[in-house]
Amino acid sequence: MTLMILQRLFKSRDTIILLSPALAILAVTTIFPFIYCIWIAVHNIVIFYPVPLEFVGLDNFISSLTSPIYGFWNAVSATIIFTGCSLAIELILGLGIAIFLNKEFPGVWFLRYILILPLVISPVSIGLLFRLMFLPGDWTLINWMLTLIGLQPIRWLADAKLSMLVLILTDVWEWTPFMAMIFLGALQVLPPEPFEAAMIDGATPLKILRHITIPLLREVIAIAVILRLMDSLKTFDIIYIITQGGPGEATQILNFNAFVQAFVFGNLSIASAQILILTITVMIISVLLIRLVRRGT
Amino acid sequence: MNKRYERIVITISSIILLVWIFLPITWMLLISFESQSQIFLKPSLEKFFPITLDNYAYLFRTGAGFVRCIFNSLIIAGSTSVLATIIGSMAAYAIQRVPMRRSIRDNLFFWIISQRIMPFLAILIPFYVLYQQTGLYDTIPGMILAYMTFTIPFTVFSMVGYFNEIPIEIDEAALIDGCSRIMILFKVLLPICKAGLAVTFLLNFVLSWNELLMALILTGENARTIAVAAALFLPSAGRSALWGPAAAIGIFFMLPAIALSFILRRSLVRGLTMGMVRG
Repeated sequence: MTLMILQRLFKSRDTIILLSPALAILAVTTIFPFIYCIWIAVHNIVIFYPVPLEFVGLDNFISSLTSPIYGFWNAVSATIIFTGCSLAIELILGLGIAIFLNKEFPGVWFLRYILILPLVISPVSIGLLFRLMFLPGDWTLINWMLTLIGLQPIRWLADAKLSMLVLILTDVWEWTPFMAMIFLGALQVLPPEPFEAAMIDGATPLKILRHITIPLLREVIAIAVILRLMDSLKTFDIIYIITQGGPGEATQILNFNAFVQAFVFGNLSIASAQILILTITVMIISVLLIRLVRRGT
Repeated sequence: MNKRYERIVITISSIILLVWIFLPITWMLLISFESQSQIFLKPSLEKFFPITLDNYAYLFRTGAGFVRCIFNSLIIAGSTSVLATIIGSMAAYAIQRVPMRRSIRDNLFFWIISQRIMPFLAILIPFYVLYQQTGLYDTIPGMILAYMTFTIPFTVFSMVGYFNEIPIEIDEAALIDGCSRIMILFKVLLPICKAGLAVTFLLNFVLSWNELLMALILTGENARTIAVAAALFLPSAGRSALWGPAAAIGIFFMLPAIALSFILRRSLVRGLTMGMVRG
């Protein structure tokens, strides 16, 4: 019976055979766990010590949003600072690098190639790279450079604001090439006529950027920002390696805070509630942004 | 005059870009070759020479732990990418060129790639509970199943792009000759886009090799991957200042990806940017 309905829908038996492994696995590994996540969020499940299982309704959502002990609003502000700053810097730098690498000059292929490196290197290694550069003491790269220009070594990761700065720098190093690659690909297929016309009219490079390049790239820029936004909100590895969310809770973004709630404090239900709030927010933002892009074109 | 000015700008920008990318990597590479007494010296000749391989030896000497993690990572990343590439290509083929209702096609495609939006933790917390109950916790099959959640969507997205470039007439000719859809996929289409298949496979491998969060939560001692080993080594590295071995892990861990990226240079750009950039 089900098979017949499926056959109607997909018109052929082969299609079902082709699709079913992927759909079955994704159903087991994403749809079912997601529903289970909702179930966990409306019960009280704590690992490490047993509590009687109880249905608590929306209590976990409400206490996440109202009680400071679950660190939700602290995480919200950390997330906004981290994502906002890194996204803005990556966008500007990425565009600049793309315009630069769009020129043809000897050796440009090598520069285009090394831009791939931060994208394939594991975030764990990238975290280590920056941790090693920002260790305390006068022997680490950054502090040594500071002493060269006559400044005192700084304990970067002991300060809330500086830790956040290090994380943003790491994220910029990791993801600016991604932006640059996308923009470079788009620049290479742009029609040359508007640029030639502007050159003949004697427009300055800045004017060309402002009035031709950016408007032509608008859609690509929007897509790149959406993709980066979704990934940025999920950042975990570099935070785990570099600051572990500290000092205190200064660098715990929402995703990391939920991890801590679940696997350090063992409060799976609170963590599920928080991650559901994040997931729904991300989905709403993504849909709105995609709508906005579609309407613009 | 203008030409010369432009050349100077290009040279300076190139140098800045090179330093920006290579400075962190070089610093870690240098530290990984330093002995424990050299690490705390300020940068100078004595700090960097003579070089030593002690840090790398240390990793392999600390017992079977590290070697085992490498094997686990190889097995998990290898099997995940084989399975995901096959299963994902099948789905991609069905979605891209087998006739079906437009609304179904669009929704299926959107649903599969929208997996990417969801934070891993939303499925990981249930995974943790379920794996504890079913005995999949800390096993290699469990990790492979978990990694399917992001490798299959990636494969579908990537392969749809590659299939798109093959003229549909090829399918039609094969259909007239009496091939089934499944035979067309495996005997005709996949051999045609071997290159795309290879890039997809290798990127799946790199994605699984690099992954930390899932492995951290779903493995203990047995199925621990090298990503987790590297991450867990850090706290002890911090206490006893074992920065040399820590740097060695970091270098060792990034080598496969760097090697692959050099071999695949051009086609990789397209894969990494989710098919938005044609290499």
